[in-house]
Amino acid sequence: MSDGIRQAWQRYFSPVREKCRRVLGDGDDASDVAQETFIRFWKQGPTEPPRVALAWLYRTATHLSVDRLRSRALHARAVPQPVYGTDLEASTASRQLLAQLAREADAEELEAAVLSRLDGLTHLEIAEVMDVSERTVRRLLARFDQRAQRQEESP
Amino acid sequence: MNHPSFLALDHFALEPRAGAVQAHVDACSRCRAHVEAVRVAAPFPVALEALPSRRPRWAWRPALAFGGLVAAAFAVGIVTMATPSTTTFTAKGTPEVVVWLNRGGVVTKWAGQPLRAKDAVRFEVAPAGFDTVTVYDEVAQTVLHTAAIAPHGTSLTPAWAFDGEAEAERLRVIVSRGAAPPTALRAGPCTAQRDLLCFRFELRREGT
Ligand SMILES: [Zn+2]
Repeated sequence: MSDGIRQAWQRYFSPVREKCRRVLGDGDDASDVAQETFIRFWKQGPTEPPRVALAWLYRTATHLSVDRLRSRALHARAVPQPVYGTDLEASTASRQLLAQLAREADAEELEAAVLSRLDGLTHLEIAEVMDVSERTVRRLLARFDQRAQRQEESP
Repeated sequence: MNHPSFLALDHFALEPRAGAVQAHVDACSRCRAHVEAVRVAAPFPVALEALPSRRPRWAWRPALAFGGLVAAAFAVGIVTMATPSTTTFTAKGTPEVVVWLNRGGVVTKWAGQPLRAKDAVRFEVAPAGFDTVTVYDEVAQTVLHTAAIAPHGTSLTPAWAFDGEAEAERLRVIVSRGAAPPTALRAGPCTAQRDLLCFRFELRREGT
């Protein structure tokens, strides 16, 4: 059976780790959350087909990453530097904004924002991953955008 | 440049297919770098070897066990059966699913009776125009089987043996146009959608 877990690790861990890094930066938090996501996946996630497995992994990794963001916000910890080079500025700005709003925005709103702004998912993809309607996705993102705008306007 | 989502890229890295994502990856160095990065496996932490194994709740059973069934099933054709938790489709031209039960080598149509250890079941599907069948285990949250099928006529899934440990197994059979979306792969009521239909079966253990 150890072959099974090794195989699942080989296929799915790297995408999960990259996903966590997009939200949490290239530090220990991202590694911890990626590993926690994988362990949950191994215990109860669907390993096939890949499209279903990835949707499950994105849902769980987003959920756990947002938990971590919120706990950072409560304890006012610094945000590590980002990993992505080419879209560095955009991803840094989005990540900083998420970190700033982590305390006041609710978890679902942050999850939708992570999937949209950092992972670049379409509304349809977000709906599939979060298991909600596209209408709900639009509502969550609109709420997040309003919050972001207020944040920008505040002195 | 509009990049595909990272989800689409990760899916492509696992299951490369010709199409828009492939064309984009060929042309875009950022996306190509991502796909190459996620294809590199991270070192496996040995501590994870100690995690309990995921024993499948349903063991694959050789289709041979149902050898006699194939002919029988086609001889009688699909007959819709009422089961305690299944929608019954009777109109011609709508998808139908029949559960076949193999108990000690004797194959009968399952009529809702409780299962015993070593019983095996398989599904016969008349997709009526849908082209994909997926069998999903709601309790283990696992896809047991997914395959493209001929849209007309009938198809048989592999068989699964009941291990007799769980009080009940809840399986859903989804017929869809194209792969079943992740939203259809979960527990709870089945909702018919434009491109899919779903049938649920609760198989209880004898004495529960
Ligand atoms: Zn690109």
